[in-house]
Formats: sequence, C-alpha cells, structure tokens
Amino acid sequence: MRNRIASALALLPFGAFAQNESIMYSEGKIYVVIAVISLIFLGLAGYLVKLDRSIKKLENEK
Amino acid sequence: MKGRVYKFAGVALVLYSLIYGLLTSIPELPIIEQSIRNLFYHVSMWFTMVAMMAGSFGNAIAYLSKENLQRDTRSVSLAEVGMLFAGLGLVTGMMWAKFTWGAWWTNDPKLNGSAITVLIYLAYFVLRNAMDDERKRARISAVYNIFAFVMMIVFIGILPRMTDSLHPGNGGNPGFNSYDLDNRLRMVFYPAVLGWILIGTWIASLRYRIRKLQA
Repeated sequence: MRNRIASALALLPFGAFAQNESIMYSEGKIYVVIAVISLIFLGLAGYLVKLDRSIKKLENEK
Repeated sequence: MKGRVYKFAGVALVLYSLIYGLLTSIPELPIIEQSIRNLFYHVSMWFTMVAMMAGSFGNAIAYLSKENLQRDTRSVSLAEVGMLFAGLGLVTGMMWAKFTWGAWWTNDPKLNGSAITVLIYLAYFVLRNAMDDERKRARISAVYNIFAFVMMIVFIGILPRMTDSLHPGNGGNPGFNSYDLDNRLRMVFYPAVLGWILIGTWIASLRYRIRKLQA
C-alpha cells in the first residue's frame, strides 16, 4: 500500500505534466507555485495520516 | 471508515482553496490588490481558532455538568489546536499588515484584542500545569475556559466593532462582505474555513488520543 502511494506520487509530476507542459509555463508560471503549495500541503496531510496510524497502533496495543 | 470521511473532506477542501484561491478572479481594489487572496488563508485561520475555542468551551461546560474527565481532555486538546491556529493567524496577519498598512503591528483594537486573547489562553495552560490533582485541575480550568471564551468574544468580536479600526469588519471600516466579498471570494473562502475547521478537529483528535494513551 505504502509503496503504491509512493510510486503514484513519484509518477504524478512527470506523467501529468508531460502532457500539459504548456499549462505549467502559462499565466506567469503561477501553476508551478500552485503545484509547490499543493505538494507541501499534501505532504503535511500525509504526515498527519501517518501520525494517526501510529497512534491507532499504540491504542490497539494498549 | 466513518471517522475518516471528515479528514479526507478537510484535506480536499483546503487543497481546493489553495489551488483555486490563486486562480480565481478577484475584485480590483487599490492598495490591497492581489493580497485580497489572503482572505482565504489568513482569515480562515482565525475562524478556525474561534471554532476550536468554541469546541473547547462546549466541552468545558459539559465537564462541569457531568464531571466526565474525557470532556476535560477534549477541552484542552481543542484549546491547544486553537492556539496553533491563533499563532498562524497572528503571524500571517502581521505579514499582510506590513504590506497593506505599512507596519508589522499597529495599535489597532482588533490586533491588540487578538493578542490579549492569545495571552488569556496562554494563562489557561499555565493554570492547568500548576495543578496536579486531576479533578481539581479539570474543574478550575473548565471555569477559566468559560471566562476565556467570553473574553475572546469581547476582545475580537465586540470591542473592535465599537471603535475605529483599520482592520476590515470593524468600527467605521466596513467588512469585506459589505462591498467586496463577492461571490467569487465566497466560493473559496467558505470552503477554506470549513476545510481548516475539519483539519483542526482532526489534529485535536490526535492530541486527545495521545493524552488518553498517556493517562
């Protein structure tokens, strides 16, 4: 599961942007900023999910 | 499964506000210009803080009526997350103020009121840490929590509206909604607030569960 998510994330920038590269260069490259912000936020959200799981593990052990 | 839906919804809503908040067209206003987009990010921090404190307040009252210690744990967890969002609100507000009003801080009733609110809640944590007896701590901090919540409403909701203020939504200065919170802004702002409240609830639930494990 974790590997699948990791490989999906790794493919995302190349797979999605290769077809629409022109979009990334348009509007003063604002989409690049949007991509960066989104990645940061998704990274933090993923970290929250990880915390949630490790707490759940502790709860099950108790 | 049921418990997961709100977390996913929160992430999706905030992600939407991050993306569409930069893309949506905005009303053209002097001075504030593009920085009006901060409405989606800065203001939602404060809305979330108030929501967290309201949850904390509700649990404080619930503790006082039923004396269930879990209510106290919920109350303090929500207040902690509320402080996190208040800190983010203060820092982002200072950034926005510098480039629209020209100063990091002004002696504006809204700004000082929010700073006082943060101090009042800091005292809540100091008060808690000063007591070892669980029940005593829960009862006294629940009473203080009620006081703190009322003070927050007074300092950020009432007093700034009674005097002149640079901050929108106060005194002689109309809020965004009266002239320029048009539907384009609402379409991003409300989902952003809801999304951050859901994420705040999520973080508070993690704090709550950690506290329960520690007990």
